[in-house]
Amino acid sequence: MPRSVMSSTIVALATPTGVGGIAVIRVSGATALKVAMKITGKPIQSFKPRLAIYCPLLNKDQVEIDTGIVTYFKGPNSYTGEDVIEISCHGGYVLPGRIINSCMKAGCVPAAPGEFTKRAFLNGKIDLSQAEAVAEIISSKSKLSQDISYKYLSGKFSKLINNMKDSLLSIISLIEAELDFSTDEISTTPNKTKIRMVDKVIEKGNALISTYSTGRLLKEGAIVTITGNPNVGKSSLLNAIISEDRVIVTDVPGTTRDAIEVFYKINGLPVRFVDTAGIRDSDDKIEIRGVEISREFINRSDLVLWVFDIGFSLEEIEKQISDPFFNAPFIPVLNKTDLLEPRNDYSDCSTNSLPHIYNTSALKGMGIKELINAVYNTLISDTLITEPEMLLTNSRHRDAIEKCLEAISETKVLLIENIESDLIASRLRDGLFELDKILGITTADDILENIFSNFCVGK
Amino acid sequence: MFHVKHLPKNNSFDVIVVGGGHAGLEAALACSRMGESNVALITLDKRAIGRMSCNPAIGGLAKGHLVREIDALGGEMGRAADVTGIQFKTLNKSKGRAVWSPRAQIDKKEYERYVRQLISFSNIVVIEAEVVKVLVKKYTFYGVVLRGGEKLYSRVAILTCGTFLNGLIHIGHRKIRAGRMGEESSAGLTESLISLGFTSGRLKTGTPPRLNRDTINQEGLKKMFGDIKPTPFSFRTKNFAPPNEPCFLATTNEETHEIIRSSLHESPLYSGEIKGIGPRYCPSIEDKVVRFSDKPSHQLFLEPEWMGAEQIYTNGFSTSLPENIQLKALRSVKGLERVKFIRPGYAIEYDFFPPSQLKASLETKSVKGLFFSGQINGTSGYEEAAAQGLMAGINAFLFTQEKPPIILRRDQAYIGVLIDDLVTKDTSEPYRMFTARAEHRLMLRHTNADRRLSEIGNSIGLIDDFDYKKTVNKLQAIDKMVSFFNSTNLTPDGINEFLIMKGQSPINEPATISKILSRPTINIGDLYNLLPRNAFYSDDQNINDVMSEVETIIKYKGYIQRQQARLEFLSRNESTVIPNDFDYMAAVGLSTESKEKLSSIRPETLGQASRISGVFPSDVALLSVLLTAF
Repeated sequence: MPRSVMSSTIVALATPTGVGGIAVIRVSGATALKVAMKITGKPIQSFKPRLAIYCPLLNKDQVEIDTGIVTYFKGPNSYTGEDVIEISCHGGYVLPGRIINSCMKAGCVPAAPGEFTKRAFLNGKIDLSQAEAVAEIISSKSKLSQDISYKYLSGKFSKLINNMKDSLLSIISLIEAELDFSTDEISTTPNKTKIRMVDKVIEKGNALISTYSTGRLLKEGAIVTITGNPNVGKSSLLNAIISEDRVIVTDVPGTTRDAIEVFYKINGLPVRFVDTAGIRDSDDKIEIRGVEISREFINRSDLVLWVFDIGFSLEEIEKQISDPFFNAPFIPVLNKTDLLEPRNDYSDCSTNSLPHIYNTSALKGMGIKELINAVYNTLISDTLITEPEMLLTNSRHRDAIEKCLEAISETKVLLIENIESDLIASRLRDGLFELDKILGITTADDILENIFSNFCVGK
Repeated sequence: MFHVKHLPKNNSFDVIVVGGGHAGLEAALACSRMGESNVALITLDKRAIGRMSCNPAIGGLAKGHLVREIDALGGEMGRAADVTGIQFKTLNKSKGRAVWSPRAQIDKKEYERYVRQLISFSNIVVIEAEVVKVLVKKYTFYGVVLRGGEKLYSRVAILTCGTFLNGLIHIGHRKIRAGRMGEESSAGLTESLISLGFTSGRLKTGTPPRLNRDTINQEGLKKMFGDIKPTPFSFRTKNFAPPNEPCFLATTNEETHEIIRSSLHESPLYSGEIKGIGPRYCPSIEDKVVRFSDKPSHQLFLEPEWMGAEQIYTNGFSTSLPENIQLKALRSVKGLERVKFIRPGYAIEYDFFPPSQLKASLETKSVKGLFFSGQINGTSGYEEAAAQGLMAGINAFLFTQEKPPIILRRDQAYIGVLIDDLVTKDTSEPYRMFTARAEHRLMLRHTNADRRLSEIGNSIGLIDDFDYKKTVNKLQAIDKMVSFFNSTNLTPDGINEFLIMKGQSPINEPATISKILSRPTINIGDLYNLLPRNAFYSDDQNINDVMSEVETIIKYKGYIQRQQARLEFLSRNESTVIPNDFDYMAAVGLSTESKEKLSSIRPETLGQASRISGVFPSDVALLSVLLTAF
């Protein structure tokens, strides 16, 4: 098979750069076994398919720099369908780089983004929507989202789209039949029935679309911003939330002035808590800029924790939260309630039309669990988590379904107005085409390229 | 020994056409017209050239489009139908302009006479004989052998054998070897082709009984007329004033169905005697009664086969039941109580050659210079046959000139769709044209066949300069009016009163005429009186054609744009050529089924590959990436 793209043996780090104690380097191509020999100094007989062997790892000058595990996968029984070796070595920034250099000395070229998966696809190991799912598994930040990607990978998503496509096809066939057979030959279906069928497809599409925001949250993580006046206890509230459950993923100092980001997981849902600069009127230029940045951030948030302390009266709080200074969903929090007399509990007093005010004491750790649950429940509904449904997570897929729905909704209007059926059929076909795009039926090179170039190196 | 007017020296011709049906006729005429070439048309029966073996009609849904395209390219069928038609009707009038389809009832006798005259005025040499063998050397065609052993030579041949190859007629359990009732079938040619490596298959079709008109009681039947303002098929027809001869509508009833049901065992379709596969879209009356048992009645159209004909075609009653059962069943129908047959209905089985063995030029892949067209390729219908005959004729002639073939694209013509479908898809039943097969349907209107194809017709010499000039003038008039409509504003003062009267929302700002016209309930006739006369000025005589086309262009624009955007996306596949020597078996990721299909069909482009049944979409995606790497 003349395949210039496949002629080279490629190498790349398969684990994230600099993270973790162990790094995995993957080599794929016809000369993979030769590479294994060169970087370990071991004879070729040492490497048996699917056998992990412990061996020295040599740098490009044949000097031993590490010991690790080398596993050989003989094509086609490998991820890419080619001969593959996987090298597990110690992690960090420097060592894996040296071993990759050593592989390149042995004849490898660096893998392009997504090239391993591209080769797997080309060798028939996975289909297109599966290839996309691999990309999502790699970039997904939560277990739940991995489950969903796995469902894509196992073809469940295709089944759902196929189901919608089948319903659409049945209307199309109905209308097409009326175009190609005269009324002598077949009896016509009333428009009313056709409209009912169209409604059903729209329903199916809408159901899929409505899962998109949840799907995206699971994939990318939700942004929860903490705001409020200075000294109401925002930072201590964040600290209290974090210490409630010590599953911190990473802790990155803020890139914006005075903002702190913390990654955190609630029941598998990845959440980015952002502690912003305090919001208050100020003449200080630097502080004004800081406040602007905070406001931008707040507006982009999936949820805002709006913190007050007991220095505010209930009336003041209610006045403020009835007219928020930002544009995002929020939970009002009354902090420092340990300083309150028990009978002055603010939550009892708030009116029905306003959001429930959560009482916390960051200092004493009171009400934190309840607040975390509220954050979680606001972001996502319980049922969705206990029984993960098929969620739409890919924006290309969402766009296609939306365009499909737009076309179908228009045909509904055309049916109601009794417009010529050749036009109706054409719009329905526009809709079908969009679904076809998802299923990879009408794949053109640019879509493929687009998908593959969005992959991270190493997969 | 055959006898002909002018048999050339060495029995040698430029082109040999085998068969004188609708495919053979178009092929022979195209070749002889394109290059004054020396064409032999070999037929079993001279008098049967251009015969309409089945229904006395030309055109109909999607088929009407084909006829218009044949005409725009310079073929004959449209003109022949215009001259010999006795009732014209445009079908699907309420379902949209893209699917309007012209149809005409034809005087069969006049049609044959017209065709005979054409042939006698041409330099086509008609040879009454049977071809039993094709001569091939080094994968190249060079001649045919006739029954009796004579040989005729040429560089190209077009086989258009219709239902004659090992034709076998069934009437009840009675079997008759024939190509059509009363006409010899042809034996030997199939075997000769198989010995050259071709694969053949078996198909079945049928025809209903012909009734004696004087035995029909017309009093009880509904008369069906054509359009009061008929439209001709041909863009070249002038002074069109055809007759409007009625057909009659009769309906079957429960008694009819009971007679058929109780005699099913006598139908070779149900006893398993017929092995060939028949078309699902044109079911026999047995099929209708069995498959649609809930329908209490079926329509029968009684169509005169010529002007004032005593012979009536029973459209809707195709059957292979024994003659006495056919008669008994028909006599249970109101109006047919005393009916007598001129000829009973029958089913016919015949050999065909799966057309995946052909290139898009209709030349066979394995034998140079040998072309197939018509029912031999597994199609049904006069129009489908004529379209292939025309293209095979054009390409056979171009072959003799060592010029590249003309291959119409799917977005260019129904003919393009037809041939592309044939050469890339498996035919499991006789192939009939449907508008649904044309993904570019909104653009492939019968009214713009001239815009799509006349230039080609003119460039190959089938449309003369005079006719072509007329077409160009008409198209310019259309374009001029469209651009005037696109660039001229109507003011609220000038148009709102009219819009409100039409139940439309008024405009606040000036809007172009096109914008107003693209509203669903506004038509160009409404605007006629509101607009300055120069908007409608046109050199073309037929201002109505021009206006109707302008209206369509403007109203369909948005839909066509979306359709095109979608198809352009796909067309990148269409233009991706798959190299001849591409090794599918070595392509690791392809499914085994796809490998086999692709290796045997050998599609020329990725687009063709994607339409092969059994080739998975993911395989096409894979191929597209492999080809980039190739």
